[in-house]
Amino acid sequence: MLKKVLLEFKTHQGSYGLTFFILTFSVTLFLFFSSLYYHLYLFSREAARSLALTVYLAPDLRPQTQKRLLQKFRALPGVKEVRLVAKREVLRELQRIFREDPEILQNLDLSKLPDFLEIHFQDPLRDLPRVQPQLRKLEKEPGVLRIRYAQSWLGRLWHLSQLLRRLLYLSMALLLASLLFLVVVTVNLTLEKQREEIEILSLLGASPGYIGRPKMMVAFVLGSGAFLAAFALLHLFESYLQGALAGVIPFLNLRLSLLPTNYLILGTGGMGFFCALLSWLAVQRYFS
Amino acid sequence: MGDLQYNSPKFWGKGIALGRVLLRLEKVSKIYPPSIAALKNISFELERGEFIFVTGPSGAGKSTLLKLIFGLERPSSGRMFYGDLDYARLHRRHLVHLRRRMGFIFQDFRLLPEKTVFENVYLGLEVLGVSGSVARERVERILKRLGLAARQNQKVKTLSGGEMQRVAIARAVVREPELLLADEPTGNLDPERSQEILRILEELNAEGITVVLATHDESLVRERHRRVIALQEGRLFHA
Repeated sequence: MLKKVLLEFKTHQGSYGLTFFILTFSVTLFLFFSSLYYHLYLFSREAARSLALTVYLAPDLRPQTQKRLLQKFRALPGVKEVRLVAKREVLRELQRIFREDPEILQNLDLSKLPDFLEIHFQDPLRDLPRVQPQLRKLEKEPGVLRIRYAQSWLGRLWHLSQLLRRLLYLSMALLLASLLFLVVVTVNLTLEKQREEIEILSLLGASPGYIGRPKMMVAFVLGSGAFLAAFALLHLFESYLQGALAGVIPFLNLRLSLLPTNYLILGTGGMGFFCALLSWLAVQRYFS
Repeated sequence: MGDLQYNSPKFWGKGIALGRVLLRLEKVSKIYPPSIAALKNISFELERGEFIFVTGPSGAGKSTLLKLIFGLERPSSGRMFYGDLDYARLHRRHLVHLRRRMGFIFQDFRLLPEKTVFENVYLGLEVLGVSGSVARERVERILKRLGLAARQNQKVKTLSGGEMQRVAIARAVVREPELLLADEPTGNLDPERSQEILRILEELNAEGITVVLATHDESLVRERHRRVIALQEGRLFHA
């Protein structure tokens, strides 16, 4: 079989070479853009992970009511920590912020300042959408003034990451469809050039297996080889990407990970099997 | 005869009982969509060792008849038997086994132009599972017999039409087929080369190979006292 596979490579080296090049190029594009979208999503997600809810409480709330509310928010699914920030702490923070202009705070009535609860979730992206209905109910609880994200830009980032996640799925689906289309067309065109040979062999009494096995093996090697080559190309490009992406959000130091090993194995094998399957189907089609 | 038998390699090795009659067609018709009748109610028997001509003008159904016999087409109606083997019960995957018992010579040769003469003929044996020194010896013998020994390492695309036809014959007969089908084997050749091809086929027939030769060239047929199946517009005109 090995001899036949080598002979098959040798006989059609031109078309197989071109096929390998096109497949590698297609997979490289797919991996590059998938990686880019994925990391964009990761950046936004990592940033949004620090997202916390702020629940402003009514001034002069009785300690029992505060405790009750604290317990209610603590009971929400996915909550990691609920911290009560007292008005004195708020004032200290305001004094720190306006230390250059202390006159701003001169006439501030401490009793008008609200206490608030700072609620951190284990995974804000996962948990926040789940607790939205409960939050709407809690906002109407006596003693609760208002619920809002701790920092408005983080809130926007959270929405952005939600959008990016959807875009990621959509882009991945489109990219994958384009990749599959390109692979199908390339493998079929390669075997279309061998149509006459397949027809002649079948006329001589060769079984589909006799004709198809070496071609399937070659297709498997080409497909999986193209995936590995594309990965190697991106790996070479990785250090550049690392620098380029690391500077996007300065305080976030996110490591660039192209593909975990299991995905690499899955991609290499999957691509090989897909090409082999296409090759088999083409042989069946041209078999007289 | 059940389908299980057709699945058995042993069956394809020895299982077809070949009596005096090698091929039998009973009221065979072939209609191409939408309603083009290529063959209408053709019936005849072909005995082992016979050499018959299938004649008729272009479009008479000669090639269709040969394709039906070779299993490239299925009849629209009627029955066909190879020995006691019923074509109707043959699955597509079994056709290769039937084809291995036959040789087919095409008007357009159907050779692999980038391969050498030797490789093309060798391929005919390789698909049967015959390879190595046994196959090489048989290929060399047939090439020598057909006057192609000196050309064996030449690529097919560099040969003349007559030489290509001889390579096609070599590839078909190196397999020692029971039945040799030739579809206009002299169609692209000059009269001298045509006579040469006919002579080779007659020699092979004398050695026991049954030959069915389709041609529109009446002059080739007239000179030889062989059975003729004449077709006209898909009907058997004379047998």
